[in-house]
Amino acid sequence: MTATPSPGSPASPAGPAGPHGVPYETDAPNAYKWTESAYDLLQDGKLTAEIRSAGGISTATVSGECPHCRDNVNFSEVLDAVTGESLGTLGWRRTQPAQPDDGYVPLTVSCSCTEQHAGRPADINHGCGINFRIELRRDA
Amino acid sequence: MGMPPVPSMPPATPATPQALSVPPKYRKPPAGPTTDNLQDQALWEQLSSQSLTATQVAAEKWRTGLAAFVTLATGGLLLKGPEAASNVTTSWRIALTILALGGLLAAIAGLWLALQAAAGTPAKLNLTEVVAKYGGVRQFEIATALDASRQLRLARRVIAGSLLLFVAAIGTWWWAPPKPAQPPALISITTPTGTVCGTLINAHDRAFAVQQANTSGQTRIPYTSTINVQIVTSC
Repeated sequence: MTATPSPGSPASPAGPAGPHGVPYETDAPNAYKWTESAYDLLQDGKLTAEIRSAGGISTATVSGECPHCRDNVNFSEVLDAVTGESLGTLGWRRTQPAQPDDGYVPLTVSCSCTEQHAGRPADINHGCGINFRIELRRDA
Repeated sequence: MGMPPVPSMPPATPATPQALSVPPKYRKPPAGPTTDNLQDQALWEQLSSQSLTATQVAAEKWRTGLAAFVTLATGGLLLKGPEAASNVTTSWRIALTILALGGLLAAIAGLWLALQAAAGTPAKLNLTEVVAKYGGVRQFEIATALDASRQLRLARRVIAGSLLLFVAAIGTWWWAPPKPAQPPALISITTPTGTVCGTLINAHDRAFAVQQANTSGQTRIPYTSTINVQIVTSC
């Protein structure tokens, strides 16, 4: 996940945002209500998610209205990495995937807005504290 | 953190032929993020950001290991010494040369690729171009790591081929029949005036023609002057 703070930039592309003064969420940062609300915003077009592929590397980006603070979520995550370990193993043993690929990519999104929120920990410089899940069709 | 209640499914939209054939762009997740999801995300972030470094470190280790293999294989060839190769017949020597040279060239190419994967190639970059082509610097780093890992994979294959060639060369050398021993071809002719020793060129017209070492011309010795003729291995 990568936040790209841009001081002075508009808070949200979705127009004037709602409750800018909401405090940093600490009670239930992963509550299902954020995921439900995010899904509604996706359906309304106020929140958008997409997967772009450039140079052979896929990047998921989520932008638009945050379900909690209404600022720009401003989230991106590179979906590829290169390591010394491969998914394959030596030998003939084959493992079943943990989850079947049904064409949807699940993303855990953290709000990465650049607005100030009261109660935000000193070592964190972005976000309003919530996390939510979205499931995006891979080829959408 | 407790499991959130299972949500009710989103309201069904009117079914149209298109909606039936194309799955929706977004699907409602059955639950919110768990601690494991967030940990996975943080670890993935770390893994992703270290892609290039991790790949180059791995490539460096592979390069060292592959170089050790090549040293081992070439050591087997050098054990007998290059001059020993001249003791096999020409056809076997040609095969030996092809195998050893092929192995050497493949080893050089493979180690070059491994070195390139480990060290990279310094080049001038432009941020705008990087962002335009890859979408960001992080993505560029991962793409670079991907290239390095491809180079390393190729290097491993090329060096594996090189090791096979070296092993084949060593095996060929072990099993190549030795060159047949040359029969003694020097002749020593004793005459009343002394002994003439050298290579017998011919024996025509009732005379021996002998090519002596360190002389340009041939010495002719008539049969009538010959007291004794011996075949010798050295003069």
